[in-house]
Amino acid sequence: MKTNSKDLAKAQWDAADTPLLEVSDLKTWFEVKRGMFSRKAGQIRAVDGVTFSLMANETIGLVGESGCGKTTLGRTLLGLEAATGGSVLFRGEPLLTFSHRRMKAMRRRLQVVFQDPLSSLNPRMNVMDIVTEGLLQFRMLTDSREVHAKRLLREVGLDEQMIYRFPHEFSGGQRQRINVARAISLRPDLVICDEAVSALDVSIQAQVINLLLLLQQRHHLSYLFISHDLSVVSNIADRIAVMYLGRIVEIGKTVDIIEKALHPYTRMLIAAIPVAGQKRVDQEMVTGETPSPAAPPNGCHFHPRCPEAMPVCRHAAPPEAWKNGHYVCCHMYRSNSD
Amino acid sequence: MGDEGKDLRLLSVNNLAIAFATDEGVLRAVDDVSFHINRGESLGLVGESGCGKSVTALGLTRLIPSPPGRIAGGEVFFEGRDLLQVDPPELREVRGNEISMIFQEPLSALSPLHRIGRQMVEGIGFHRRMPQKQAWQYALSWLQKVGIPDAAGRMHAYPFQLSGGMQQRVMIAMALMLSPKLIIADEPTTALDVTTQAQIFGLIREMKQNETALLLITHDMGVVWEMCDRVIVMYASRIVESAELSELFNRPAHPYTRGLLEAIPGLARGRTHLKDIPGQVPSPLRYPSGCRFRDRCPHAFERCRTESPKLVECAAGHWAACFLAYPDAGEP
Repeated sequence: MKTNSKDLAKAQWDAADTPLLEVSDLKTWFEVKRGMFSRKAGQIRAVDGVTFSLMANETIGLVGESGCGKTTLGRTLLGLEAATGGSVLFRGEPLLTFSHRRMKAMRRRLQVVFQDPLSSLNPRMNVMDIVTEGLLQFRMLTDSREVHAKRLLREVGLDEQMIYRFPHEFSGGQRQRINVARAISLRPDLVICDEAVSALDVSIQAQVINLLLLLQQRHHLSYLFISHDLSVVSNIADRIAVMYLGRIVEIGKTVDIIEKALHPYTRMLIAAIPVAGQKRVDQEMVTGETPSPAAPPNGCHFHPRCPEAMPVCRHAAPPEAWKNGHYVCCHMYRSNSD
Repeated sequence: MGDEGKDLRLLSVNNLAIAFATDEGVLRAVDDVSFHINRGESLGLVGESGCGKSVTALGLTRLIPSPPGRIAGGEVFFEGRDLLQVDPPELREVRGNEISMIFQEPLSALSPLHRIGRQMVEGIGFHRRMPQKQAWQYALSWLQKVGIPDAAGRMHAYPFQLSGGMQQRVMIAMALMLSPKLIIADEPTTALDVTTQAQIFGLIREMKQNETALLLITHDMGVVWEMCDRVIVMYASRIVESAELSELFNRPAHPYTRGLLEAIPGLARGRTHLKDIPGQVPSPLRYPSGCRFRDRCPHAFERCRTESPKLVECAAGHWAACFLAYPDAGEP
């Protein structure tokens, strides 16, 4: 079959021990304009110097509160927002400097699943057209659209008889399965899931998480799983990155983040989650709200809410520290860097 | 359920039924729902979207949009009177004063055109004889109590000028300032960040006086765990289980409740296969015969197809609508 050679190419990529995605010092800033002549009134640094890498077949969970820049980061990687600075290497190639045409070709390998399963599906297209549109675009149809569509629906656990139905005829969970089917139709390397299960009910959410895990195994996918929900993320991610006001404050293996979080913000996030039947919210550890990203505090952005804040946090940007693959950006850990 | 402890009981809902007329037929959003709330109690009403939990809450104070909605039957006894029967002026006296509500979206529950202070004073003036100036001071004192910084300045702000967490604090101040006997909170923290949610939990707990009861509607078992004394689980327009908090979490009797509790993603150490509930919630226009959960239930047998299980008391204070939980059923 034709796809074999492609799978081989992918396998070779995996064998080379380089990350699939390397993001360094990525910045996405928005100008705030006001008044007559659209005077520049300020800047929102939605993504402000983000660095991380993602290996093949790996899942990174990106968590943070609303307004922390996690969605903008995902959109910048997809080319839906223009980066202000920094670089992104995808399969070793610089994504940000790509021409429109090359970016389009690269999109085959870089897919997305959004939060709202209905608004991300064209209401006038039936499911067959939706899930095979990409295959048609990239001339990857090896069979009739019908055959491809049925195969894809089976793969995401939908009844293959449903290919002629329209999005409005499905429930929320089924629609998200259609979105997943479309995303994997082109055999991508990386799928960015932006709050992909947040709008679903618990019992359906579990189904879709299980589906994503299964497809990852089967197709050797990498996920960048963006969510505000740390419990969901901890069930799907190999590593977790915690973002606060445009910056990553901590990255580490999921088990390390959940059980041995270093950054006071990560600890606050964990303390704030009620886990049914197990733990109640630790009220005393949770204070304050995220300041406006248009006017972030000086020094460490988190210092006004931080229970551990020291005088130095008010004016100096926190140092970066690495230890055994666990990254943290906080004044408390300056001595640990190696 | 008997008459014991009747003075304890604040609200009794008997056989409530609410229907909506749609193009495709009559949709029974709430079907034969009975429960009660005691004074000072925090009761959680949980279920997935479309199960009828929010419609139940709206029905208690007759806030169902009509048409297309219609309260098709039942009684809602609040302090001895049936709220479904009282005349509109009396109902207005109850709403906001004795029963207040907190909704999910504070921005759509607050008027966008009026400053916060004025909205609060209007509510006070409607239910209490109080000079304007005094009402203003009273409202201000409540904004301070719910932890809004620069409360005096915020009285002059429009709702959109506040963050989501601050808007919800304003809603809580408005809901609590007239010392209601019952607060109905419909997904009060769903639109908020977890850190804000944690603070709102603390605030509701702190502000709620001992004799104030809380009916908390949510899809989130974590929220129930945090806030409630007793829990009611709804599925497909009906109550399937009700029990004290720890009883429900430790010994869930209905397969749906068990499935729901198992499907919640807890804090994990990495890729974890979750136990899900197969299938999907049936459409309220086409509920299956018998038990409405039978198509998704791992234990379904012939009787579930033909007969609808009633809510029975399977342990003290623990009610479930499942044949396997019937006292004569033996171990499931």
